[in-house]
Amino acid sequence: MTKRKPIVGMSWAMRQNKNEDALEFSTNLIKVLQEEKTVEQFIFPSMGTLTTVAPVLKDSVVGLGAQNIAPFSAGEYSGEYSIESLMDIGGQYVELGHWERRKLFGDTDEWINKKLLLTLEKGLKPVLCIGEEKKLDDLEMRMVLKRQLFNDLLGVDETDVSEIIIAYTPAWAVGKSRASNAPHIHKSGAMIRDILKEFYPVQEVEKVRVIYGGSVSPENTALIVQNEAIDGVLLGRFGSIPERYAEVVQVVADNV
Amino acid sequence: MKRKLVVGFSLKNYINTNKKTKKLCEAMKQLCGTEEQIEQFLFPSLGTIQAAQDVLHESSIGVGAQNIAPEQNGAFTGEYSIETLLEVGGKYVEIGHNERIHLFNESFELINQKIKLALDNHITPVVCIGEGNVRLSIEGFRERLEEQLTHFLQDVEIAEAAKIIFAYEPGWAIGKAQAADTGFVHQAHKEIRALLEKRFDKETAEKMRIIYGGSVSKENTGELMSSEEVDGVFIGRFGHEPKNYQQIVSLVKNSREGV
Repeated sequence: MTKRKPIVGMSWAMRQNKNEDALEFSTNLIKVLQEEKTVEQFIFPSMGTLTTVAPVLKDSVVGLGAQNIAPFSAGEYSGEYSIESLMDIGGQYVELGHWERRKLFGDTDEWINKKLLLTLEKGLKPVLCIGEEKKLDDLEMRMVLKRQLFNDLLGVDETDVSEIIIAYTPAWAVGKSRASNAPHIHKSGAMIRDILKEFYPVQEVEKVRVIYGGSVSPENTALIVQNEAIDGVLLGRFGSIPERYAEVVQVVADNV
Repeated sequence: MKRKLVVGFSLKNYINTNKKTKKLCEAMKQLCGTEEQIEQFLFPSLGTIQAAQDVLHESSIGVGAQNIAPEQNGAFTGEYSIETLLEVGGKYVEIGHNERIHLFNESFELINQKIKLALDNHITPVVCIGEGNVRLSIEGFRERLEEQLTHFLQDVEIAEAAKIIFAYEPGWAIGKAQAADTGFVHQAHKEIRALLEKRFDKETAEKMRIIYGGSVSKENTGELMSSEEVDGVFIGRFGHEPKNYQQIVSLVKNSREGV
């Protein structure tokens, strides 16, 4: 089996929106982080602060990404963030399909698919969020995940599939005080890889990283990643203190 | 009632790098940056707002965002926060553009939330209204616009309302070679002001600026501005050439001189 590089990603959603604060946070983050090169890391800052955070992360172990992009690189898309702006400042990742976008901001599977294809075409890495909205039984869950993966990955070449990072982020566990339980996360991670094997060659699917997001903290990270089905975590609120983020990176480095 | 005339300019997602944005802003600043008689604002591509503001902050050209999240902060992945706009010194926000409604499924409820959020934060909302992608009869137009205004302006206080700038943008005339015919535009603006008077009161409606957007060029600006009902223009691609932008500003300015 292919050894996959573990991941720690973090999204600030829209919680830290002042450039001043984003600058302070990212500067401190780089200071407290060890040169941990065994873990792939990236941050999705609040959209308006990307330009400020970019120079701080440049040449560091932490990559930069956008929480959303327009479905096309340029044109008549009032109010959208263009992938050209992200490339202009050296961003490498794009978060797609977060449940808030699907639910609150009308991101359809068709749009998510367009954005994903655009991201791959430009040589950036998509971090595709999928997951069920409410707790479901296994059979229903598999149907939901399969439908999302099928629609969101439509037209993706088998040579590109290993570039995609899948973030299992069930809406019912996002923004809560506790993460989903570890056995459920492991089962879901395995289910996602299993579904991918229905669409793509096994050896390519083995390279895909599947990570978990939803109320991840330094305390629960070890349990979450101590299973070959899960290749890392996507942090939210609980990563908002640089030391806590660094702790999570260490836990992932030690346990994956 | 004399209303200050407006020239607004949106770059949509056409110019997306900081360097190109700065270059355009430098040229705009040089050509029109001290023009105080016309209220001017630019909506750069979302990722380049800061770059634009770095250049325009000491000029008479304001900077705005083409979109904001419906709330100040929180769990709104992928949205641009008004907190960022306030921090960088932005003064305007465009709300409810036809593309946001039709391509990005923005609901009337979200638009209403954004308008109220902007007003609460002393940011000028530039609210796009229009009948959509199909041309309607004047009765159909009135009905459609009244529906929009009712939803968009729900719970907006009368004392705040006069700050709003309305941009009438018929979807069927956006990005086309030809603007809507001016006779129709003048009538549409008159209807919109009557609807605003109905929603608020005469005094408030008389203070509100209603500008026209949709394939505006130097060829049609003079004619569009020939009615007192039109308080300015909202331009797009035509302004990518700074000299064109300058010409529009002076056409708008000259349209009322000698009246």
